Amino acid sequence: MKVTILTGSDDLNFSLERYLYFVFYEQITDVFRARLGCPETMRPEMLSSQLWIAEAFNPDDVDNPEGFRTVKKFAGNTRSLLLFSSDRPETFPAGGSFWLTIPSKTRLSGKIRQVIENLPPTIEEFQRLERLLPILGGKPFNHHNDYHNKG
Amino acid sequence: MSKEPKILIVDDIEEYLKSLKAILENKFSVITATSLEDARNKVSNDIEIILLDIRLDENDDANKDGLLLLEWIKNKYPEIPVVMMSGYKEFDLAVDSLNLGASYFLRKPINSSELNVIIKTIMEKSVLFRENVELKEKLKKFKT
Repeated sequence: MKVTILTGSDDLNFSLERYLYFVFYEQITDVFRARLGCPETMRPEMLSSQLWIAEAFNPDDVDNPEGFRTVKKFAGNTRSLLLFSSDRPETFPAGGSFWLTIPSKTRLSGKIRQVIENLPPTIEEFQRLERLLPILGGKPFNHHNDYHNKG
Repeated sequence: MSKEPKILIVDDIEEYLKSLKAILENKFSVITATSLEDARNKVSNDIEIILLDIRLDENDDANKDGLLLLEWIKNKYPEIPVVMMSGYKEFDLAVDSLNLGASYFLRKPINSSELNVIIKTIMEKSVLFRENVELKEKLKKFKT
């Protein structure tokens, strides 16, 4: 299985990669790492990943659901696990079929196993998540690199 | 007549076009375009690579005409490799670009050595692709 990890930090990416190889060594063939806020880390081979593990929000840009928007593009085709940080509203469920709030009492390995066994989340499931947390459905911020405020 | 491979750079910022042109013109015949329409008129089958910015209107923060142009290029000229460039930081834009058929996504400001490596890789793949097509044609003739 090919997996892409998309988080806001290289450290977390490396840790998750090692964890995946350690726990799922029989199932994982390739792990690709990409960074939120760094689109240049996207590689063509990631498009054929069978599983995306992504932080829903960019931790450097806390209201920007960049990871959510990214995995939503693979709705219905690719398995995904969205990771939320614990500062979400109390009304937001700590976990669901394809998301998990961390830290959590749920074991990450168990959740990943569940995601792998389930069918990929559908667009309706992503939309349901947007209704639970409306900020997820916001338009992209169009943050631009202001190397000269242009381009 | 120039025998250098042709490269088309599409960006609405003239100074940016100039700096990219300066990097590439010793190896390529460089053509530039500053808008979606301008680029559509300049794309042709003899272009080896297209470098395409996502935002083609600096006054519109949400402009993504580059993606529209990418889609158009991939419909009309699917074999021309396109390298997307952008100052946008949103990761999902890179997913959109590669999903639409871009070969690479580069973040602005472009690192010239990275650009040269990518162009070299694309050119090598193009040579292999052409050789493959020629060999298949020869094989076909040989069989008949």
